[in-house]
Amino acid sequence: MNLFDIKEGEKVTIISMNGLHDSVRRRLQHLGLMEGSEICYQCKVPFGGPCILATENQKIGIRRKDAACIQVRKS
Amino acid sequence: MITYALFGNPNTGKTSLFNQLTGSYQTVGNWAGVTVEKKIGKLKGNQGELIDLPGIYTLNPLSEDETVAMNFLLQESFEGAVNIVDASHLEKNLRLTVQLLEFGRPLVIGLNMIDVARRRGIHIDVVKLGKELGAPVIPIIARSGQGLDQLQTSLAQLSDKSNRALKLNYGDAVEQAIENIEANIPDDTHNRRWLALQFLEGNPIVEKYLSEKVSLDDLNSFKQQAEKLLNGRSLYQHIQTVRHQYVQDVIRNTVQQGDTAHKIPLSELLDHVFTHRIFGIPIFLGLMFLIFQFTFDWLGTPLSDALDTFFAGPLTGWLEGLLGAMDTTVFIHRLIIDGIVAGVGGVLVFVPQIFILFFFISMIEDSGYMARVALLMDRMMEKIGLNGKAFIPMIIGFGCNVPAVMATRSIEQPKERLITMLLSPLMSCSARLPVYALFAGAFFAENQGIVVLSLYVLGIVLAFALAKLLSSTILRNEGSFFVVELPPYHAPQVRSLIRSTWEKGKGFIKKAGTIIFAGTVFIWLLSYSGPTGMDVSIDESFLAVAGQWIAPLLAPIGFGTWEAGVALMTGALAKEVIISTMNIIYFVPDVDTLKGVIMASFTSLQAYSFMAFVLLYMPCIATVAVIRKESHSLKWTLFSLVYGLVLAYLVSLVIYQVGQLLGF
Repeated sequence: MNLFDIKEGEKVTIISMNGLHDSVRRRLQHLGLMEGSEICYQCKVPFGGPCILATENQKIGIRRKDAACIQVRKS
Repeated sequence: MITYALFGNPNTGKTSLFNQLTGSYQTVGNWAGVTVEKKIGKLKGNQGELIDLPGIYTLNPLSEDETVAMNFLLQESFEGAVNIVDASHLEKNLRLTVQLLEFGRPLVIGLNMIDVARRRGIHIDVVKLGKELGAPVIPIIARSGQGLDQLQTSLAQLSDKSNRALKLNYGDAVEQAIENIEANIPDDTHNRRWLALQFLEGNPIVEKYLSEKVSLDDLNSFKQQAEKLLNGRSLYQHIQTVRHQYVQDVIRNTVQQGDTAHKIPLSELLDHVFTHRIFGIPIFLGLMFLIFQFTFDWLGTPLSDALDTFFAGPLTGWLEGLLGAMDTTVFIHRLIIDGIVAGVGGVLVFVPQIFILFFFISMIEDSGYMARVALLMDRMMEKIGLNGKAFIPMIIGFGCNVPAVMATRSIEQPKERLITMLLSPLMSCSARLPVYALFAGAFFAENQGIVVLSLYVLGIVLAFALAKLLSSTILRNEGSFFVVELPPYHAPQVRSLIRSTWEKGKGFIKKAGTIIFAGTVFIWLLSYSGPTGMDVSIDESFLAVAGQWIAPLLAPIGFGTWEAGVALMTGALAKEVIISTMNIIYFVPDVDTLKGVIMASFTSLQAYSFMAFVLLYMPCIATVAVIRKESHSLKWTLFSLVYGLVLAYLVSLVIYQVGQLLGF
């Protein structure tokens, strides 16, 4: 399943980021998000706006269509 | 002079550290990308100078900020570097550190925010960390200045021998490629292994650098060989993984994680409010509205009025007394009173409003709210072919278009960056404020805040429309992307806010003393002299002659007087000069009288059309220069001038003609 299928506030582990655009993937890596990272899908800006991914100690905003490219499993 | 460079991720307190170490002041921003230019400060104790580089995540650039830092590394020489590392985000920060250690120049690591880390239960064995990394690590708290003496001592002790370049084992395939590449590139001032690694990672700047020395064909074949041996993984990913494992090992050996990380409750709560799915955007708009109310109605205007009364009354009286006592010629007397006091003073009275606006912009920058605004606005910006980050330069543009153009460097996509750069002059900067304050104050005194707000909105709406147009035609974009770090909120510190406001606002006062002063004297001279000689009536002055030539062109848009024509011409220097010019041409002692004169020569519809024209007609000289520098293109610089004039003319034409039809 991808991040888009997850309920808000649920903790998940990233299993694949291969579907992402290369630049997005690289930037997320710089911020410490990669396969194996535990994240929590936080909130969605209305009208299909971006969403917030929260890790242990930081928050990152990405677009919803990119969130849909991140494969995760429940942790 | 010994030179040191300061490297670090965005949001690590880098700018605070720079300010503390150099004693000079730089804007402290909590938004990734506030430090958009190379800034140099003198280290305390005459130790040398420190260069503040933009916050970066990696040396292999994705954004212009990173390109700037990377170019610096390759092209400039420096004796040593400080790498500021956020102790509470060690894993993320050490990725950059690894690349800097591989670069091999002497390096001191400033381990910042150890207090924050401790509160989150992160305990770092500093001595051991230094040993693991092979470079001195000094724990510091940049905001309070704790540990900075030690950092400076350690910096002074740096020498070429203090640390050797870090050498990670990247596995046989990659090591073989590194060896081959090293053998192929000539001796270089830079560490060849580092060059080889950055090349294998696909760093475009290193590629360009190497291509000037050797043919890339050989190097590329080594790269392909290595990539073949990696079983389908890209070299880039492989190199990242090796570094990641190294960082993980270092952290395992040096860091003890106590109780699981505590959430920062206040920051969480604020995000529930500010990024609320329904109220987020209305809250942002409401805040902007409050800022305008403060700047114009509630606080700014009374202060400006008081200052105006002072200039026109006591100051002029005192100067006249002084000039009388000195028995100056009529020429000097008139130059000072009618020229300089009227022209420069007429601009200076708006200092309170401008500083109030800058104060609020600094507060948004410093609090961490700016990144949330980017998030909230992304959806809308995506629709016009940009991303949420493009909204930041636009807000900064309300203060001044020059830093706005520079702030576009944090936008990764080159075309999105160019569009944002070209359109940020449509953001109504503080220099245009005096014009609005005068005209709106005269014609729309009851609804001043709303009328001025409508002009800001006009600028934004046009910028959006043009962005849509450009991004779907000549600057069509391949794959826009948006990733933004949301730093924790923190309460802006009063001291830092005041200094930041002053840093931004002092440019305005400086401008009043230089370009506006010179412009004023020049304009006054042109108004004092004419084809028939000196001391002519203003209608026969050179100024009137020039204005009469341009006036017919402006008639269809509502202000075909030579006075308006001249004011707009001189306003190309800096938009405040429009007011200086009007003060001189209409020959008035203070803003109140000027308002009266203007009300006699404009109707409210003409006044609104004039304000819209001033908003749009062209960026000021300083902005044009910075667009030229940042876009590296004469073509796009000319474009920014021409589209402004055309747009301004069309918009004012519509306002005036339609307004007349509607009976205004």
